[in-house]
Amino acid sequence: MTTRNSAAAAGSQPVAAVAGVTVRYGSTTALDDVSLEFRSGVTGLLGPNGAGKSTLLSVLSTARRPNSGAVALLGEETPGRASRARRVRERIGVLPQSFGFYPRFTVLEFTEYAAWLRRVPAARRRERAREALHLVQMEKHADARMGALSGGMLRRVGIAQAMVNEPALVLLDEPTVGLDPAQRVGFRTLITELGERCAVVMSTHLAEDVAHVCGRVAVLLEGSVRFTGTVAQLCALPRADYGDDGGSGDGAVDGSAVEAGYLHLAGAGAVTT
Amino acid sequence: MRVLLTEMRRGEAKWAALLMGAAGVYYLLSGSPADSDWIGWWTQTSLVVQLFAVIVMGSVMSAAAAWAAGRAFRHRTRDWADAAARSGWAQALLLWLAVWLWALFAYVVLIAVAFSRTAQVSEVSEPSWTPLLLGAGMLGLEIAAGIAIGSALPSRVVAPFAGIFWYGLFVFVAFVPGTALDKLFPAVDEFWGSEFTPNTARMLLAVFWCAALALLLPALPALWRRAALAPRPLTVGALTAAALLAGGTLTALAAPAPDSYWAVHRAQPERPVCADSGQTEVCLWPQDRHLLPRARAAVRAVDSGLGGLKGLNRSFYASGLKRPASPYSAELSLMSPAVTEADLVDSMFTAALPQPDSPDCEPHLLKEAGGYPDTFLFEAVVRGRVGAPAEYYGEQFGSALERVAGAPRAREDAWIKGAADAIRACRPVPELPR
Repeated sequence: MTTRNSAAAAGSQPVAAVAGVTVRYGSTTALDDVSLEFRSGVTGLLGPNGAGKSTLLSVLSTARRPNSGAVALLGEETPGRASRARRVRERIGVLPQSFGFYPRFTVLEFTEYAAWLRRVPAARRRERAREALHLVQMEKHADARMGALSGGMLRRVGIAQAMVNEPALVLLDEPTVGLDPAQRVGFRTLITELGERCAVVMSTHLAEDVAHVCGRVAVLLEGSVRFTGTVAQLCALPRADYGDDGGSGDGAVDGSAVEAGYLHLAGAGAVTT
Repeated sequence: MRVLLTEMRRGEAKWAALLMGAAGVYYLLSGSPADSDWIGWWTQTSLVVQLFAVIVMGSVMSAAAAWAAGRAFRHRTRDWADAAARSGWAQALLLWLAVWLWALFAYVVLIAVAFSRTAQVSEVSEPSWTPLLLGAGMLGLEIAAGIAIGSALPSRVVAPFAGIFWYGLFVFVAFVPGTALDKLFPAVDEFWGSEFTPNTARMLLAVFWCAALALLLPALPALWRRAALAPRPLTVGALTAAALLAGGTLTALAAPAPDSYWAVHRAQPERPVCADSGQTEVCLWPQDRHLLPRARAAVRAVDSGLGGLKGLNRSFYASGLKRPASPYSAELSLMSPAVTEADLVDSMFTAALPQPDSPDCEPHLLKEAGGYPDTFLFEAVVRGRVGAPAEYYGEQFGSALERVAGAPRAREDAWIKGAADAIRACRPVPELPR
């Protein structure tokens, strides 16, 4: 299987970039001198739990300031003044790993509230909320209470709220966790379509997600970047060790191939995905 | 606007406001005009509504606000909301506004009910708005504190403590007067009658203080939550300066003793409303003109009881009204805007008794009356004369009373006249008739 975004991703300008970013929580180093660039299309952040994926996403969302290093988002150098962060946040969509919601709000009300949070002008909020719900095929459930939705529907609303401000960069933290296999397939399609509209950075510990959705991938292990490149290049890593020409990216790209590449990086048996 | 309506519609504050509205309406409707100290007086009506709103409704709505603000923890939306382009302050202010508007809605219902009750008694229409404005400001401040507490403390059990904090504060202020707290967090629990009117300047200053602090408090949790966009320092600084200035001025101002910190004397009316029989006169504030028929009947009753007795006060002016220079005029205290004719007569009989001109006058104890002050005997004689009940202080006192009341009418009248003049001059009453 080939990814849809790989070609587009290769030649575009970076939407976001981090250089030498280090984040510490007390004595624990969550990110250690991380340098990455993110371009249009879907970029996967692959790594086990505790690898620093969510921390990197929080840095990209400007919610967390790194202890050191530089962050450039959508043409703005951050961290900086609040007004600069505000401008950036207006053009970013975020779906946190534990996506909370207000159960008494209807789907439309919640999406509209998200539009307000992202400073979408009042005159366009309802229109944008409906468009975002249409994008995730939830417009039929616009009047349903959030508390009455299934897990898959909630994830779709989560995507809708992240897209409501027509962002240039969307950050998805483990978006397929908790979904059943059928929902996961549908959700991957949705994320792939998002990648055609804007830059998407998706953290996951599931190799299948990366294989089906991402054009580029960065592998994070213990707070450090261990790989960055196309998914095909990641899949080719084990074969390269056996003398194959893995760098061309012509080999098969599926979940097991990605996992093999990932495990190759982590050291076989050292990490479970 | 639509987002605000959504917050109002979906938030829990509406239930608290509904509960408080129902409780307040019951409280305001349960009072009887016959024994109420506010139904019929517009300013007192405003004070009563303000007091209920601030102490009862404000405490409950503050708890409701804390609960509403705690939803970010309960529903795990904190990280998501903190990553938004809208600052944490703006988010808190939206919640604050939603809760406050519900509280104001209930408040307006209470005002309407209370005013309708007073309008049924009073013949004038003079709603007093500044105490109500003060109540609205305090409601906003209490709710803002609830929002700040609920935002800052991630716990489900913190909400009731916001309400308990406010209620406890008002109880503390009631039991420990003289602190600056009653100026900074006013819940005006006073009886003003018709002679006082709100101190508009102070109340507006307090409203300004409440507004500045209410806008500032929700910003505080956002200041230490680093993920959320911080409030603009200039705006926070300006609000802090405004709150400090207004709060400092409020605490620096003193109450014009013995009057209220929040009230001033009403300007003298061009013409008080009076009932005058030629012998007896009673004058009321124009705001109390609904009492005039009862006052006329009371004047007739007093005339009938006191007849042509000399020496007693026969000109009665409601508290706060400027009295003529005559030594026979007295202040008439009205404790209810719907005072009955019988109570009015009793008040006039009491006011008819002369008082010493000097405030330093010591009582003169009368041996023949069992060693009680001679003014006691004088009052008993006058009350006996008009057939009103009087206190009984024992056999010796009764004998003294009988000596006066059993004397021929002319001698009794002369003794009363002489005793009245003596009491005014701070002298012992004349010798009792034999």
